[in-house]
Amino acid sequence: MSGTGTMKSRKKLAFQQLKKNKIAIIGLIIIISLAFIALFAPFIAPHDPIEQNLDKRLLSPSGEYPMGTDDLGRCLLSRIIYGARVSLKLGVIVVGIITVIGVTLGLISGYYGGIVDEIIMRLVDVVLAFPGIILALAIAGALGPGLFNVMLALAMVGWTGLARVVRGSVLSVKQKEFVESARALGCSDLHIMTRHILPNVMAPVIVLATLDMAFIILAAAGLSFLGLGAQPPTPEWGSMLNNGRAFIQTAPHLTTFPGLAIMVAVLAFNFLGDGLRDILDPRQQRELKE
Amino acid sequence: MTLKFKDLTVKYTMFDTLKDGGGDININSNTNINTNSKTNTNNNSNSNANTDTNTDTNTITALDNISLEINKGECVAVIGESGSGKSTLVLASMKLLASNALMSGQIFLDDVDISDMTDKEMEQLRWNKISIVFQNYGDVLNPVHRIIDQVAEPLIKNGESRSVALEMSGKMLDHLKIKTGRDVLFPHQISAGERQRVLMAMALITDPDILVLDEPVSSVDAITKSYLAKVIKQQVNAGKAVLLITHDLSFAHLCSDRIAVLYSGMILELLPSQKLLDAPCHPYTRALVRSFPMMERAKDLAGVRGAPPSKISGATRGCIFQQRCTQSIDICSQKQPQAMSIDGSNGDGDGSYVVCHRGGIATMVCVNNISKSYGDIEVLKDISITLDEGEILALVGETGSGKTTLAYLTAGTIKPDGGKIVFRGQEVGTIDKKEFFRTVGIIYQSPKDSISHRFTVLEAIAEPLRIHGLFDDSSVQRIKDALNEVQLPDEDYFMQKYPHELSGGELQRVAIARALILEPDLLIADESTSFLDPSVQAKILKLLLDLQNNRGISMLFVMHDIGVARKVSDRIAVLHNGMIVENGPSHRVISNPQHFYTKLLIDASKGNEIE
Repeated sequence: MSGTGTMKSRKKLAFQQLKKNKIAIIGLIIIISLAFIALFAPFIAPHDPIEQNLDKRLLSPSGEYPMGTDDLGRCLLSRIIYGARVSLKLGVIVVGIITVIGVTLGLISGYYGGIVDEIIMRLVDVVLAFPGIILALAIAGALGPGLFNVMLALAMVGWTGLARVVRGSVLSVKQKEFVESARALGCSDLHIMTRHILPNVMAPVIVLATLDMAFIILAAAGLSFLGLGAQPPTPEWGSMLNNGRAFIQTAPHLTTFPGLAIMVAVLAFNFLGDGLRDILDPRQQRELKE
Repeated sequence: MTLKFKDLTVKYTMFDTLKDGGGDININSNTNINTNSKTNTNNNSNSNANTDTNTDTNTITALDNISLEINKGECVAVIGESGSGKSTLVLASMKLLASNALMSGQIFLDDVDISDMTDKEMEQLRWNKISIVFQNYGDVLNPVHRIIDQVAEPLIKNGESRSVALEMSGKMLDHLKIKTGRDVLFPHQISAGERQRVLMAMALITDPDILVLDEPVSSVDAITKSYLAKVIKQQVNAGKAVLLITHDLSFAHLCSDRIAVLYSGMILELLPSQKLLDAPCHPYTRALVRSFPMMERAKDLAGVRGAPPSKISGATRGCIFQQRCTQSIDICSQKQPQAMSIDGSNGDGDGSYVVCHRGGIATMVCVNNISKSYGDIEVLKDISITLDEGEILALVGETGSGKTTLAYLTAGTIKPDGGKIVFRGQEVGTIDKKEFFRTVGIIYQSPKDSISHRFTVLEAIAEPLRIHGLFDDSSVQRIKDALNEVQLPDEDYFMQKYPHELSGGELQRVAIARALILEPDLLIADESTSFLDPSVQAKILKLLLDLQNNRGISMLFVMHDIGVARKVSDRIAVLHNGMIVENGPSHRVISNPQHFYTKLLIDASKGNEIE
């Protein structure tokens, strides 16, 4: 037997555990479906998402338009299907960036403490001193309109919460004896941080990251509404939700369906995240097994 | 009269060895031959043929360059394991060596060099000036003569009339507490203890100036032993020079003024007797002391690790004890060490000296005036303590006394506020971190906390290897060996288990294997058994002691139970309120505690009520 052999069997074991975790499987199926929908949108969507049909404005869901039409007579279902492309990409990328930044800075801050901690945490304070959306607005405004700039702006304001949470967890984990033990073996700081501390702070990170996904999609919608994000007529869940607000009394389906789409996506990531957290913790694994 | 050996070397040619069937046996069988013939030797005429240029591989070195002086009114004990050459020294002192022995060097009785004397000349000295108490084998006395006759024989041989000789013999046996009436018995009719006293009587009957005693107490009970010690002391007080050969350390300590430690034919250490038990200088002497069962000691016995080196002449380069030594360095395998007096200068053989490149047992860790505070709380106040190479030190004290802090300071994982810690001559802070951590292993109080729950057994034990870049194809086998060493299964299913799937005892063994995989020189065990039930604790402690003995590493035990500490440690240091209140050999601390707090700990350990 070798080290790689163990790794292989562990992956296998993890997959088996995943199969037993129904919630995680549901999450995974939804995410795969969403990805599938986004990828094959032109084949799935019944109508052109940007084609206006002013005769058929604000129609309720029907056989022809399963989710109705918006104020410009566009097929809502088609827009949601195409919107998955933009919103999912935006969510995943931004959450990925803020997770990397937040976790890295949180780890460094918590592990080293002292002046490093002071600098990073004061930076967090500065960023948090502004309402997130306002700061993102300012940054996106300065960078100019466009999806990429919105992502950048959201990433720049979104990492703070994660950094704080990670730092807190690191402070508690680094006091554990196994970290002391690793240090006494001559481990480098990087090894201790990545091999010993990081896996133990991932649980709140996963929960936070999945929750952030929703925030990011909505925030991106907010910025789009102000003309900084995805430009009309690009279908995007957040901006669709925003557009629908004006008609919430007369055509509630305009807000309901994009909202549901966001909720389903966020829930799916949340479910999968929870499952992954359990699977990555050997102690949870055995409990599931039993 | 004094007995003096000067550069005495004795080698046996292999021809006889092969005939007799083995090196060590050879020496003993010679003893038998000579003891059977008692006083007469006809076959050692070759002793003068001192052609000691023979360093061929066909000789066995029994004694190598022995210089030792036994003064008038002094008893010098020679201690050592079987096969160390003790009996050869006895035989050489009277020139009774076997025919295959090649002797060089000189033996003086006062100023007279007897090494060149003929047998005839020796006859004049034997039993008149120097006599021997032979080792008490079953056939050491002639079975067909009464013991009183055998004791009288030297007198008769020296020209005394038979009746006077028998009367004197009777008195001598009486003096040695052989009951009247039993002196006419035959050797097989008396007990081993009595036989020993008969042998003593035979040696004393001619009132010689020099007495050579070969294992006089190896087969006697404690009461007889104490009586014989009294007799020996009387002889010493009467101005005799006594050479005592024994492997009984407490007896050597009791009777002698100085002790020479003989190992594989060489004297490794000569020290005043009172230092033997408490402060031996040579690692071998310490190992011997650890091997010897003594009444006041509670620590488990541990033999000297490894086996003696080959005795074939020229087989060993460098220090002969190097392979079994707990503190050998590069030079030890390259060059033979010279005698050094205990203060570090070259010894001349008169005072106490030690033959070691490192000047005797070396200090591994030296903690100098360390202090440490956590915020306003002063945990350690001006602590100074040392840990020798191969030593087991127990830090004992109640919870919060600063034990763990001191252990972690020693391990270099935390830094002191004041003072310094020196590890093998270098301050801990200045040693390359990775190199230092390779030489120090730690076993933590709780294995559940000290091993990441995300690691399998294999990963946990492999981690130190990976960190130090030593993980390669052979590592899995190395890990399996380590598991075997700590008595855990080495099967794949076990190596893939996670910490929470193991019992406390198993997990602690994994922690031990993890701490030992890099083969550290210092092992720190921080309350490593306090979570375990007594049965598992006993197993783990025994395992640790065995590993310590096999590997010759130094150990620092941190524990709150002084009762356990006395079972495992050579030395106990008691910590109280951040200060060391007592520090000494374990048996001394336990049997005669000086500080009230130590007494309190011992009382509490006994289960007595504490006020």
